Amino acid sequence: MQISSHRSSSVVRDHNNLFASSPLQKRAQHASIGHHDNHKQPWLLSLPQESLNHITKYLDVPAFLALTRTCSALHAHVNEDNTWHSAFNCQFLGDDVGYDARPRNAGLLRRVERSWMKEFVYRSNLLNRWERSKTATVGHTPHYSSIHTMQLLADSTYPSLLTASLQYGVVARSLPLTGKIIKGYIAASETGLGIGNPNAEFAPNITACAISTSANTANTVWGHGNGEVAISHTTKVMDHLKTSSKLIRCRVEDEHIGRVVDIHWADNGTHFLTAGVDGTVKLWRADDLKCLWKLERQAGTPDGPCEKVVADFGCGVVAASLANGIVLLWTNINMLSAETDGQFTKVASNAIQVSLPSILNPPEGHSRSSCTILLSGPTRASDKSYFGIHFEGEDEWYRISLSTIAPHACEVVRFKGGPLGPIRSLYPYFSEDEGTSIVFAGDELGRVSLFDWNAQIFDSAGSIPSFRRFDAHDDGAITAIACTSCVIVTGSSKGSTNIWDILTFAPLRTIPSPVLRSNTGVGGIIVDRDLLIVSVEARIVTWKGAPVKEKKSRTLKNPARNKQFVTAKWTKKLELAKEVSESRECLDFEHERTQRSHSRERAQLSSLQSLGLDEVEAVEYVLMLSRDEEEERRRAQQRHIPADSIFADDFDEEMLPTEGGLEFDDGFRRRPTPIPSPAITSLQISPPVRPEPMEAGFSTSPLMISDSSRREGGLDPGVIPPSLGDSSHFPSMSSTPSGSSVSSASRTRSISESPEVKPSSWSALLKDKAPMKATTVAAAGLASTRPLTTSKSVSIPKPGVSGPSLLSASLRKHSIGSVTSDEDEDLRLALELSLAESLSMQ
Amino acid sequence: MSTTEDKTRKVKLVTSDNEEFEVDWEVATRSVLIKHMLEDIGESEEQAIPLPNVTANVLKKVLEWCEHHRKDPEPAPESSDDNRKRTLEIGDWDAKFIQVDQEMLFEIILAANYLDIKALLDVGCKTVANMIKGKQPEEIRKMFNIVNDFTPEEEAQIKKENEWAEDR
Repeated sequence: MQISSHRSSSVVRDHNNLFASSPLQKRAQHASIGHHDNHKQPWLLSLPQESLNHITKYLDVPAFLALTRTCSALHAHVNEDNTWHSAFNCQFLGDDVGYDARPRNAGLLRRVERSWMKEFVYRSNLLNRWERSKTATVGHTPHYSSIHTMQLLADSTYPSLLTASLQYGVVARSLPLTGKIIKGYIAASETGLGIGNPNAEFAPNITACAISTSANTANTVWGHGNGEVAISHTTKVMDHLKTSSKLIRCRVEDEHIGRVVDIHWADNGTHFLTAGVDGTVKLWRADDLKCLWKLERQAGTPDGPCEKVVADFGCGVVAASLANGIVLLWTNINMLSAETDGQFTKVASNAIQVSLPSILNPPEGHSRSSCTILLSGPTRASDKSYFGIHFEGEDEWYRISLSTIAPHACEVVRFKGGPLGPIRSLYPYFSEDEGTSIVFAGDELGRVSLFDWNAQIFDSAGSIPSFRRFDAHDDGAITAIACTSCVIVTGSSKGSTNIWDILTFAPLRTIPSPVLRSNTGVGGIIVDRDLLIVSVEARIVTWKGAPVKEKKSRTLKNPARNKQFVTAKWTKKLELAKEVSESRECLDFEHERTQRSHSRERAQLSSLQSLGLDEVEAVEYVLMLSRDEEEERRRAQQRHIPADSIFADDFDEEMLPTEGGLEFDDGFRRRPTPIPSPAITSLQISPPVRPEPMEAGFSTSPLMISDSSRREGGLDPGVIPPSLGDSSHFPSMSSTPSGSSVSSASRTRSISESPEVKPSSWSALLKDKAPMKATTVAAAGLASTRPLTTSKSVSIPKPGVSGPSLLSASLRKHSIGSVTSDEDEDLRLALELSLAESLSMQ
Repeated sequence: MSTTEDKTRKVKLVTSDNEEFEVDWEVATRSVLIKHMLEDIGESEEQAIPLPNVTANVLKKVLEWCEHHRKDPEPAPESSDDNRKRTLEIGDWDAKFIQVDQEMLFEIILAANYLDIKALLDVGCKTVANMIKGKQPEEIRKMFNIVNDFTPEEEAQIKKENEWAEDR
């Protein structure tokens, strides 16, 4: 009670205070006093500061600029940085709550400007360009094969691009904004700069390439398949006439033994590292291509080719990954000291071997394949060095942290949780200052997950999940990610590119694939302020934002133009609208369909993930259940209806051949073919299609035994090892004597391939229904033509219980005769049976 | 605490011009101010709540809004939409509701601020923001009866100052 009155009264007082003390209000009073002729109050000015702030936080830049010019009170309000800050929080950080709480998107914010006002203006203008700028994309194809890497020339006012192709071993130079390709390539062979003839200018056998640019020069390192390392120094790169390129090859004794697999440039472009398939890592000086240091392994380190190499030159740590999940780290590599005394080999370095843990819940038959991504990043602590590593086909990645003070203290942290499928791309978004360093991971199903690079783990068994995720593409895997302080760009395996606001994840723009039916998808993305360069296979697409013009000028022009061709325009418009709506419907439908399937897949995967299962396990479980159910059902049937059990067994036989995976298609072909006799159709039950295997291991089915025994020429079926179903065991169509009256190919096949089945079932059935009048006729007819069959089947003591035994009994006689006569007999039998059946029907 | 029994409870509100309103507890507690006051008053239902900063016609309008939004769930800060545009949108009913003269709009904003009804305050402020957007300074002045107290020199200077912000 007491507290209550206090609180309520304080609210009131606060309110009054605000009202009274608001400088705006004072100014407003001033203004209204000065202009008494105004009949209405300028109430906007008399609002409390807090409420005015609330209003202005929804405004955009043009509105702010208009507002600041209306009067001095509003000018003062707009000039306050706090006004912009709250507008920024509201519109970009999704924070509608208040100032004190840290907005949840703040971790992604990298401020470009000092004041919130400038930051707000910068960001809104840039986003406006990304979202609404009408500039078209420019495409060009600098290479004839797919692009391996590309590099935007640094310090160039007009963007110029270097693109490298491994297949041809050349670097092309182009101006992406116009699509102009400068003649001649920087090639790994000593042809110099030619005219760009792909047939003459190429260097084969290039396995790795990396470009480093500075100002107007470019250094391209080539790694050859034979272990040679070469560097092209190119000056005045973009100047068509003055460019000069010089190729330096390494000394023979410095070469790697075998293929060069990866090249890593130091940030300042003076040194680079190469990794070879021979398992060595070499450090080179770029100027004269001197091999400064060969990083040796210590004794006991497993052999194996290197796959990726990366270095944290600041801490003097080099990391190289081997194929089997092992990372080698060398510490104490100090380039500066090496440079000064010239005796680099004297520098002591320690090699440390780190074995990464195997992945959680590995699927069946999983073995760690090659490392796809290795990156080095900043740390919060100065005495530590962090490396990120990911292996192909895995949905998790690791961070290795190495303390440079106690170099044997390595810690491996697992990042898992977020990606729904194997990760296809990792993109580091590191921040040197206090902001969160983030790693974006794009997965197979088009989702982007954000991981905190500096996250610390307290539980050694656990792993670090992603803190944020969003679905970026619904048309395939994410193969490339890039971002600036303003936007995230994602490229899919279908070649399309999407652009997102980095703070709100709002979609801004989509650039369709420049290549029809792309196989590899987006290879690389370069994004800078409002410039976007995307490489898809051999094609480059460039987009540059331009200031967005206001709409007003255009709407004014339209009416004047409309007057001239009213009717023509009208009909055209109608047609156009119709076409547009039709195609839009098509697109919507297609989009919805793909999205539905994708969302289903996502939902299923995430639910499976929450259950802790993977897909294979789940399918196996369901199969097991259905098999149990089926067996249960059959057992119940056998118990209750003996007549049916014969059929059930028959169907079992029908299905057995599929066991030996080899003749899968044969089994499929046969199953749907109808059994020819029109008389049988009344009784026939088509076999259920069950392609899944019902039994493990080899088959002991009587069919197989009799089958093989028949081939071996009348040996005891029990002795012959059961063979897996093989199509050759069945009498082929061509071997069937054509003398039979059955003309249709399908009929011949269905009869000749499953001859063993019918006699047994029918003989059993006949025997079963022997007392009945109609079947007696049939049985008599059958007996007269085939005494052997009937006598055999009749002699079986228990009808309807053991189909296999019936079968084997009826089939054993097949082993007596030769193969071809068997088939004839079978055909005849089938025909006779149908005749008898039709007789009985009459 | 005892929200279930509160469903049927009525609340008396007294405006600055001494008009009395009797509304459902659920409707009245859309206002955080009233909610806190009611919590403090406790069970003594007879007591009317004075609202000295709100007049009857404004309160009527505010209560109309509360009535319509009585069932709205508390906005969870986590679920707030990421889309930048979505934050600037106004619901259909709210848009119609807020179609009032400026005087009333102003009063509603003040009342919502005083009564601490965040959603209504948002609606009001967004409406004003939308009125300002896309207008030239002169149009804004006219709309809100703002008197231009700049000298021509000042005006020219401000215009020049702000040139950097335009996207060129």
